[in-house]
Amino acid sequence: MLEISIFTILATFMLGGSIAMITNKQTLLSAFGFLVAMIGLAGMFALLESRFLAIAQIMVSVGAIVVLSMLTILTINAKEENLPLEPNKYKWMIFASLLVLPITALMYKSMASAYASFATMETINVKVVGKLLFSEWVLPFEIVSILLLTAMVGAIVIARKDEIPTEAKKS
Amino acid sequence: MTTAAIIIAVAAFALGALLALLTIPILVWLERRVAGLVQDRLGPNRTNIGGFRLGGVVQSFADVVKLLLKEEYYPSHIKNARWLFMLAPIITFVAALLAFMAIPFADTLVINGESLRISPLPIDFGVFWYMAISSIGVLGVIFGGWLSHNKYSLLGAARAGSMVVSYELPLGLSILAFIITYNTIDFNAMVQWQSGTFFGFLPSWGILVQPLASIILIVALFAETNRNPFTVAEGESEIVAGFMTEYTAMKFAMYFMGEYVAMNTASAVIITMVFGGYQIPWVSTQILLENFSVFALLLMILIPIIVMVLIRWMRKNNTVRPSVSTDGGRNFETKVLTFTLVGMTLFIEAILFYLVFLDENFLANALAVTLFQIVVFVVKLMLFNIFFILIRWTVPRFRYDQVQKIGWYYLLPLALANIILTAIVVIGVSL
Amino acid sequence: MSQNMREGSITSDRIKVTTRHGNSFKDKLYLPAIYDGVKVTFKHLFKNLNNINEIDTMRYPEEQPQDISSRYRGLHRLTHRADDSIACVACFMCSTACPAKCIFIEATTREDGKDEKMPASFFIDTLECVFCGYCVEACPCDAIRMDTGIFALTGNKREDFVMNKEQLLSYKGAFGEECSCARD
Repeated sequence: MLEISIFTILATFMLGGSIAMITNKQTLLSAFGFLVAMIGLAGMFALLESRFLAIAQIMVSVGAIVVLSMLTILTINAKEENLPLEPNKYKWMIFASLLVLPITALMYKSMASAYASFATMETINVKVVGKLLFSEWVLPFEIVSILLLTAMVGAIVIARKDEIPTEAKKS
Repeated sequence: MTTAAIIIAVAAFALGALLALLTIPILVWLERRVAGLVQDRLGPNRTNIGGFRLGGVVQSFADVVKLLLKEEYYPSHIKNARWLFMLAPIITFVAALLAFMAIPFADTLVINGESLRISPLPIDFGVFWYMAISSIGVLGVIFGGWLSHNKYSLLGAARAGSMVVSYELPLGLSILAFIITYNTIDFNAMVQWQSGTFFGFLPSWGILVQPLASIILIVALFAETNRNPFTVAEGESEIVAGFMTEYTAMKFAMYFMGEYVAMNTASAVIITMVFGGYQIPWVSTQILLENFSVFALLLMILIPIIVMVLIRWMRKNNTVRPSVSTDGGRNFETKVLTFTLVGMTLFIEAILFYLVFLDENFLANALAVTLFQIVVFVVKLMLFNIFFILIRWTVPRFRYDQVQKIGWYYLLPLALANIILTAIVVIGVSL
Repeated sequence: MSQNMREGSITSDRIKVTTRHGNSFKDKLYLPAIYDGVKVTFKHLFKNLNNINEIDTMRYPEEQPQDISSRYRGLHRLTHRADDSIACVACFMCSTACPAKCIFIEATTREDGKDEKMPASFFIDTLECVFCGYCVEACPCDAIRMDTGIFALTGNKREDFVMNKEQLLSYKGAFGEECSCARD
């Protein structure tokens, strides 16, 4: 009973946050919807007894992704008038969700049968994840870190100001 | 859940909430009073209730009443998302409060073979929890700054946000160095690791085992809590009050309280990781429990000495100058406080006497040791808060580009080099 | 202009060499400087904690300031002549000179025949007053002075701060002569 009520609350957060994120015209409010959805997702992970994923979700999604998107929104500082008009927004949303419906049904069918095997796993704690990550899954880990490095280098190259040659440099 | 577990859990939660929330007025008072004494002037010392001024602590309660009763209004140029405008300080406050809850106040209490953690949130992934939750706090600053629709607030929020994000890197890397050394992410196990000695006679506290990482941790925590010398968020001479400009009454009080709770949490984390937590050097909990009578006798001798010094100091300093005619109830206050202190001392002496000479109850011994560790923790917490406040009045503010330079040019490479060195040493020692 | 400096040589006596501080290793480390600063702060803290009554703060209102000089511009007062008549002749020079426009005078004929006019009402709004002293300099009869030495004005309502003629006549001067020094 307690689980179902907690699940309902978290599901409301997730669904409400995601819908708010899609339908809001103002960027900051949609970022807030994203934040609420991510906290709901972290709660869902905790409900499934996977503590590492819950805390990692908060650390990564909320603490890093949402904060950085907020900083971008602050820097760009778009005014109300410059935001796109978005006519017929809700009609397009319903049409798009109907279009994606077969894939959604497929995902639901495949995950409904996989749920039974999730219920029997033991509690994952950080040491187990760490050991696995560096023994069995070390190649994907290193590839992901190279991917992040590429993104960082690309961002620095794009954002760097070009050197303006001055008189002093010539001597 | 046995009754002992329930009682300890509720008591630890109450203690944690009390410690986090009651230290706010005390920290406000300490800030003003220590600032005054450092600058050769008095701090607040006039607000009193019936003659009891307690050095000026009553002023903080008067502050609380003022903030509660102020008029709540929303500036009229904020048209959209007023609910988010009100929610932003609450995010900061709750994040700081939650992050405090994972710190252990005393060692695990063993009752009837089951060991109970004495911390408000008895989890075993404390460091992880602290890092995740404390990174939510900056969202309140950014929301507040943007929704204030004010260019000073926007500047303050952008600067604060980018500074906090930049300093999360050295913070995480120095915590990583500590995790490698202590080999655990549980705060309690970290403190227990620090109870041994290394090189024979030095206590193996974090500051001696990992000096570079502790310095980086302290500097990064100063920056995370927007505390001097890193006050770019509310540069009091530059951008009015930064992101807090448009906030009044209770919302401002939430930001204000959130900043002090974050300072408290930062002090608690520094104590736990670097200065040995709730322990006194060279003495681990095991030693305390085994030689309980010696330790209780020492306490019986030390407590009256400390109380006597305190009473003598109060007698000398809770007076007024000869040129002032009325003394405003200070003599009465000194008498009442002396009486109270002496009464408390006698009570504690009686309990210790009973424990040492009259009865050999293992459970009472363990409880006494736990209480002593909680007291040591609170004393260390207050000492570190005073250190935070002293640094505020010692070091001048950094400019914003200097702040970013320190974070990225100096702290980050040092933290990385420290991790490599630590890893080499740890592997080399264990081979 | 090229700023190149050859090692160890100063080429002209119109060039001023400034040494840049903060480049030694100890300075760049910044922590020794913080340690020195904390030592000073700590010393002040403990010295003041041990002897709170030695701190130089004035315990107002029990101790009043002792250094109010005779030139201090306190609250205004209107002076009498030697025969106890009011010195002010309602010439409106003070209210014209006032930069804050806080003096309001109504003139009327004088009863005792010494001059033609006297003020029927004389209001100074001390909440608007900037205490500049222009009215004292402008007055030709030494009728208004600011030498009462009163520096603390209190009141419960805003209306309490508007001084009328009777109040202004009743204040006593703390420095200088009691009566007006103008011609009789």
